[in-house]
Amino acid sequence: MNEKLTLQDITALLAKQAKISKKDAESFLKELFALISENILDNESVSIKDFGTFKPTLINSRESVNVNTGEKIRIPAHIRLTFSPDKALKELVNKPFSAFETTLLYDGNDVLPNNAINIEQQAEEIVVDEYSDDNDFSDNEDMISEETITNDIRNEEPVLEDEEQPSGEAIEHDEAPQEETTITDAQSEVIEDTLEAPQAPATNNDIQDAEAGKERSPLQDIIFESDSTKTVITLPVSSPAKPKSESDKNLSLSKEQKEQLHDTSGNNNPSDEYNLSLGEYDIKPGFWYKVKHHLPIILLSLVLISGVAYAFYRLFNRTQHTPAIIPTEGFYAIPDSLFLDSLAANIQSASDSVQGNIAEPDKTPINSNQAVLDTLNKGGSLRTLATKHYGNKIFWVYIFQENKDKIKNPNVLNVGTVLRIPDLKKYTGNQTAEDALKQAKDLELEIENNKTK
Amino acid sequence: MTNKELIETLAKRLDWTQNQTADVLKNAVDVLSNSLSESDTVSIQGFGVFETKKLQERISVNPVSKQRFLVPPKIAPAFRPSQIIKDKLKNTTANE
Repeated sequence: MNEKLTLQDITALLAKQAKISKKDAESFLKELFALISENILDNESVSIKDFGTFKPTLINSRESVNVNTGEKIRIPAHIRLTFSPDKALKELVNKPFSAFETTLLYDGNDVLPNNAINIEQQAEEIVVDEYSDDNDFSDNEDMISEETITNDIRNEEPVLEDEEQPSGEAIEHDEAPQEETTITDAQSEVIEDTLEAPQAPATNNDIQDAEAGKERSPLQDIIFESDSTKTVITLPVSSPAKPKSESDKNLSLSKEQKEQLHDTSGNNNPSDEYNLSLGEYDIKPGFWYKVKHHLPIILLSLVLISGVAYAFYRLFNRTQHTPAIIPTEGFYAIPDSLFLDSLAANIQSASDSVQGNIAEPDKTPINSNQAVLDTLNKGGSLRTLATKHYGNKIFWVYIFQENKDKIKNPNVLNVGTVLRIPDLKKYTGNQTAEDALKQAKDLELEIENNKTK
Repeated sequence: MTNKELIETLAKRLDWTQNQTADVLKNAVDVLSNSLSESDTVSIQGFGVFETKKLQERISVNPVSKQRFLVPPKIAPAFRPSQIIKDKLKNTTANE
């Protein structure tokens, strides 16, 4: 893993694997690479089965900038040697990532092609940069795009070679009984050549396209052999998940080759196949897609609605159920409706703990004059009673006055003392509120003064 | 030059039978592929370097349907010709 192997290492491995002597292995490899080089220098590509293709490509002269100085430079026309790996090799090398497949995105963006293609090349460039050893500046970018182009084309070719032989044979049987092996071989070679021939003008287009920074679909190169359409597509080589389309392509191709065998005019209707293969990508967003897409908005609105509903619910319920007993200033006030019971209870408790005055029998009915009785509970005071009955604690003085027989000292009160709560009018008459308050205050002062005496 | 032609020429040069050379060629290809599949780099003096490159995943667009799709990350084999070859190529261009 990540080792650096030299020719010697390869020779050793080869000798082991092929069961030949090291010398033989060495001479073989030397000869092999020498032969490849010779062909390259003769401007001829070399393709090795299940490995790849070495191809010399003419690069046109172009203007560029010297990275160091910034001055303009002209890169002269030159020949570049490219290698496009075969499908078998690609798959073997990509084994760790073989589980990945290209997936369609549904994020609602519709990016136009111009940007997309550049992004693609830039992405590849990022990885490629560290490997640049050329003096040419943007060579790598072109190299990769070319590689992938020639890659893809070359990938299709051997695939066709492999697959068309059986289909070629099938056609043969249908047509006329002939000796199989040699003739089908010859035919496959013819097919190969006819493939290669129209490829030649196509590849020139490739070069130009590569220069222009575009990629051509491998499908198109094969299908549109006689056309020279230049629609740009960035389709990957078809994945195994789509076997149907692949077989369709193969069928259509073999038909094409058959046509070519018989007559050279290849007027197929490529648009049909084209639509077939690309139809898979034409997916319109369905209902559930829309739901999924708008999911956050839907969730948020649901939460809001439920919050509002809850608020209404609380409000509604509040008005219905009986209001709790609202405590006055004195926490121990008892509503009038219950005071009889409480009186009875308090008298019971008072009889245990009281030190002095004991409440009178309490079953006296409530006078229509509103001469009300009330008890002093623990923590209660005259003031609390006054607040309760009169609404203002200052009027405790009248309670005191009324019950002077029971209370000697307004500050000394006993729990359980039953007091008569007089009608305010008895003491205040029909005074105005201000006067009543004033009178009560005066009375209060007087009582206090009396005490201190 | 196709595979067959390659085998023919090699057999002739090495004075081996075609079957033999075909077999050895297959083995040689296997050896190279296996080392590449293990992410080892193979450098052939005077020829070039075979290595693997890791490509990041990227988002690209089908220009016809405008459908965006995600191309997953992958490891790809690559070849870098040596300076000798490049110079030779340059010279041949110069000569033309």
